Amino acid sequence: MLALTRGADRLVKGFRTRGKQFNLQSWRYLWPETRKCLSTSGSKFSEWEDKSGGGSYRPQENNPVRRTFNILSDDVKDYLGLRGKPQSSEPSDMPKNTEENNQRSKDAEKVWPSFCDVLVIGGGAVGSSVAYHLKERALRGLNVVVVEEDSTYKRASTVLSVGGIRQQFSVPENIQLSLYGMDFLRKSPELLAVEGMDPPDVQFNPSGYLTLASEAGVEQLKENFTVQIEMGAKVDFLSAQQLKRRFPWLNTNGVEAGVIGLENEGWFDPWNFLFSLRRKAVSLGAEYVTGKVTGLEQHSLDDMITEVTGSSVLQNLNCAEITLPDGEKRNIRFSVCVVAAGAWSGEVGQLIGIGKGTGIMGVPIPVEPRKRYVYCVHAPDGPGLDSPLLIDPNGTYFRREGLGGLYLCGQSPTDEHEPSIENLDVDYEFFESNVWPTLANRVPSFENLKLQSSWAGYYDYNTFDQNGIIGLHPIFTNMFIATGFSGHGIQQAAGVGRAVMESILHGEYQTINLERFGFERVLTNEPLYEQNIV
Amino acid sequence: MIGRLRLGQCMRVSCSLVPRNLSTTSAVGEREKESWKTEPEKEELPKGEWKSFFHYFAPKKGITLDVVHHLQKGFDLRPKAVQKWLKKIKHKRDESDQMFRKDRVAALGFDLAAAHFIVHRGGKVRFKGSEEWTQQNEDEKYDLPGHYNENLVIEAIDASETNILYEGIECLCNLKQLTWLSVANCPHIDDWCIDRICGQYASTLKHLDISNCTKITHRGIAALARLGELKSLHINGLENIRDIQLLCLLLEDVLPEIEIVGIDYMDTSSLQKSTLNEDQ
Repeated sequence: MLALTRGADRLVKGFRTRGKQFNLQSWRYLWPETRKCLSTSGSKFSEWEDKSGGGSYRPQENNPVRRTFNILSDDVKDYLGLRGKPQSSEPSDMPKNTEENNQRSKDAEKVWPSFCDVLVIGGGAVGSSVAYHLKERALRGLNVVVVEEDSTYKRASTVLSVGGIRQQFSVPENIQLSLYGMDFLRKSPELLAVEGMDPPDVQFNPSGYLTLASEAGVEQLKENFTVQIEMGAKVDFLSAQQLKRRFPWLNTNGVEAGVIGLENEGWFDPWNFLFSLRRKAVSLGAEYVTGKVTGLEQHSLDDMITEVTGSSVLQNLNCAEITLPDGEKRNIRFSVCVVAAGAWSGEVGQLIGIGKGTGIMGVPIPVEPRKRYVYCVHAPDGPGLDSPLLIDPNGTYFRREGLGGLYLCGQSPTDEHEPSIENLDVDYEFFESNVWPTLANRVPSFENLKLQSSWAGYYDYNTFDQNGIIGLHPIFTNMFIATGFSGHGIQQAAGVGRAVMESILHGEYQTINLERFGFERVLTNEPLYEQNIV
Repeated sequence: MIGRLRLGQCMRVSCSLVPRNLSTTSAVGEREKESWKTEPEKEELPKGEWKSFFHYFAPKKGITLDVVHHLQKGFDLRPKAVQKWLKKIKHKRDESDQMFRKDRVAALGFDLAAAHFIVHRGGKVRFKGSEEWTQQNEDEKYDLPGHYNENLVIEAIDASETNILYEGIECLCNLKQLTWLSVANCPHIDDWCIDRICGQYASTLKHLDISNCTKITHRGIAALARLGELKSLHINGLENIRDIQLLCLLLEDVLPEIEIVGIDYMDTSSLQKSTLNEDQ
């Protein structure tokens, strides 16, 4: 029997299987460098030895003395700044399995990753964050493949979001995740910088959030405020008079109080964030595959005896079938799978039967796409530079966009008026009947606004309790779920990525304890609601 | 159905292959349900099992991921890389040096703690009721009391040309009567530092000097509208910020008494070339 030790060892060799002396599959797992050597590309050795520093624009030298002299002279020239700006002259601390190198050597074909350690289904903010955190921690120790259906991210919730980040939640873990998300954004120019390219600029606007409460919701607002202060969020409680004095453009009729974010709240550019995460993950060695997961194979873990029944229903996922854009189907074998498919995670669950079946298997992943509209309006007399992202008691929100009098606004429709999710067409009726009246009531200078443009995007809506589902599935012992954030995924992406990384590499949460977000709460029917303000 | 779900929970607990030590970190505190596990697992040798003498030297846990990570990272000994690494170490050291320290505040109170912090790092403070600035002399010695004194309230801080960082600004928190602040020529002041300054001093700050802080962008300047009491703003050397003249005019809309020094924004001819159209 293989003597398995904890940690990365298990991931390399796969889980224990009954009977076999040594796992033939594991012999076929080779380190990436060796795999590159065996690849069918003609210039395999140049790819392998093309380490950092020398640069591939230099023709390969066979004489070792000459080669050493070239490398040293390049170093000296770098240090003295004499070399100008070549492609990759700066030091890099990562394996050279970058996409640039692959494209540069003309006869190298892109090797299909037919096996990997961690397969991340979904390449949005959460998926890319998981890939980044895993590769950043494990470097060459883990082979990470991210399967993303659409490289242009046309329908992805990440890029269509308004990009707000706030700590004004009622569940303590949400506040912690958001605080870490903010910290990550602040440090992103260092953390996500790739040599030879511009550092990422997430374009954070530190303007704060303002949550208003009517008389019915003041008690809840006060409770939430207490929790937020306890968890370290920097927020302030304002009465109606203070609100009126501070924001003269605000109509405080019907508003009892509000909570304003003093620090670490505002909005940023989610496209830039996603792009930087993905670029950094790729430069660290994660591989992005364009395709859709259309099948998942499982096998039963018969050798695990459970206390109660004596037989086992535990399953292990081991292979995914990917359909490429041109229709071709290929397989990827993996050791651990992370479902971060956003609004379509429920569908991914259906592929293995989560939702069809009896007992635990009868409970689907309760995430489905819900369409939400964002309208861009122009109001010449609107609130000035000091306007935060304002959330009205009935859920309508607006924020300033740029300096030219543009504002982004929207509202979450009630359950009866849920729009259909077939396409991303915008309903202007909704704006006229629901959004504009509330805005004009709350901010009188919005009465003469003009609708400029709009777009729609999907929430990965958790129909159970509208909070994220993070953790292992009870039946599938190697499937992590990280989805269902229902509109606040972009702010929690960094924290969730780190949490999943800790679960995979350490087996436990080390920084933020997200156990309460596990899938088990769906099974035992204990919802974890975010106490919304009315 | 419920019976079956409870079954699932029991089965989950007894599944030993997948490491399930979901520990409870203290950050969440005392909440009702912390863990789905009912009792912790212990992997020990059963009683009576023979242990060799070397068992006592065996590590309790295996090799940690940090060691593996450092082994994999390798050593980059090229001169540029070493330079970069040295800079990074220095920056990390500065960050931990400027972290907020509760014991300093507990001993001195917020005002004196901030005064000690700033003066020690090359800045100047002025207390309410006095005209003199307290700063360190050539021997790096300064004259500030070492005990809490409730009469010493900071009115002005001059942190120009110090190496103050985002973490350092947190040490200057809770100054109830700070009206004058200068962080001119500080290389590390960026939009997040502006966010922190606006959050901490919104109710009292009347003068702010952020000249030559090149990391600030137009978003940081826009956020300055949150300082409701601001009467004077110095932004010399920041002419390259996008739409800076428009921003100055918009700031005047929000803060009517403000006086902005350093940008010539009354000259409207350059407004025509502004990048306003890019926003729309």
